[in-house]
Amino acid sequence: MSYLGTQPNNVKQNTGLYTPSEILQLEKDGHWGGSLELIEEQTVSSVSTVDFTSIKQNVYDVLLLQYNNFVPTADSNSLRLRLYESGVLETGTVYQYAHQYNQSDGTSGEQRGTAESSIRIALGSGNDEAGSGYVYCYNFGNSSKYSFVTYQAVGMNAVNVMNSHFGGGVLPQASEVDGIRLYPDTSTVSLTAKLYGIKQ
Amino acid sequence: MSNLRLINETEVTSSVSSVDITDVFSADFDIYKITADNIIQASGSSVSSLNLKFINSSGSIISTDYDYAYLQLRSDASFVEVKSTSGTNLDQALGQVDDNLISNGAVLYIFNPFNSSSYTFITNQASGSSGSSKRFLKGIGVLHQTNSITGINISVSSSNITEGKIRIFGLRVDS
Repeated sequence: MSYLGTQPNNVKQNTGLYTPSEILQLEKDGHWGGSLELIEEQTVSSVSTVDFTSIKQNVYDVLLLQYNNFVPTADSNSLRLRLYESGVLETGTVYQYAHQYNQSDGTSGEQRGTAESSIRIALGSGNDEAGSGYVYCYNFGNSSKYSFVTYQAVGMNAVNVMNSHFGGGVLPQASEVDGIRLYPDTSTVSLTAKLYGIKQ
Repeated sequence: MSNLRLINETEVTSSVSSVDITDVFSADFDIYKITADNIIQASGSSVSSLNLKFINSSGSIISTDYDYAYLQLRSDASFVEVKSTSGTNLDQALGQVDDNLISNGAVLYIFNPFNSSSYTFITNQASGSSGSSKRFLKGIGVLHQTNSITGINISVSSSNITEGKIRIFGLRVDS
């Protein structure tokens, strides 16, 4: 059964269910397809870094990085994020971040920094448990703007207490960001990460 | 095909104090996702909040009955809780902007806006700045009216915005 919604501002005309002829027309117009497009997926085991170097920052204004099965080799390792500018990894103490953490044992608190060498996107995890989370990335392709992220994560810490946190970070430099690195505090990490573009 | 369907894309290209996006919520979807990015002001502007109001099916902007709570996370200072049970808008629903360089980014989810027997709820997260202070936000909000909502109004608390993109998606659930 064909069903098409009526929305005056539905610029892509892509709600509802479609007949084959409607699908063909949408494909022809370049409007067929979802708005969350997978750019790259990586599943890694016991590596020290995970790099995304073809992030299509000039195609998508907003990127979504999802990860799951985050397991550090060593207990209490956080997952950190650094950014590439024109192919060069920024390792200076230039990042800023702030996040709130909440644990199932009732502990909560603030963590922040204005001169950090990375953005800490997931708190220390135990090496037997798998953490998960996501990061939204804004303005990476705009060389005249700062590059912001917001993020949220959940996992278990080294003493088997659930922890979650949410917050944001920024590389406060007017530059084009063309790559993303994930890495643990020390040693190695295993995880699956998917980078999506929010279609425009 | 993903179930995230683009419904509306609005680009700010001139100096404005508010943006109305109408006729975007309908019976087609229950949950909507809004992304905002690269919202900036003119050089030398004052820090401004990006507030959100809903527009009902008659085209009227609703300015009462908003409840909200958010945690403002600051990279350089203690975090701040902000809340209200009698708001005139959803304060800082898209965060804050300051001056022409720093821009911002935000993601919101809106639940049941078109349903006239349900309140309209949101969850939101945003990043932005106030001067040199970088600020992030995580929050919740509700319009505790059972109006059928069809659009949004984004207003700036002080200095106008000059650029920005706002996209609204529907989360399709096929049965």
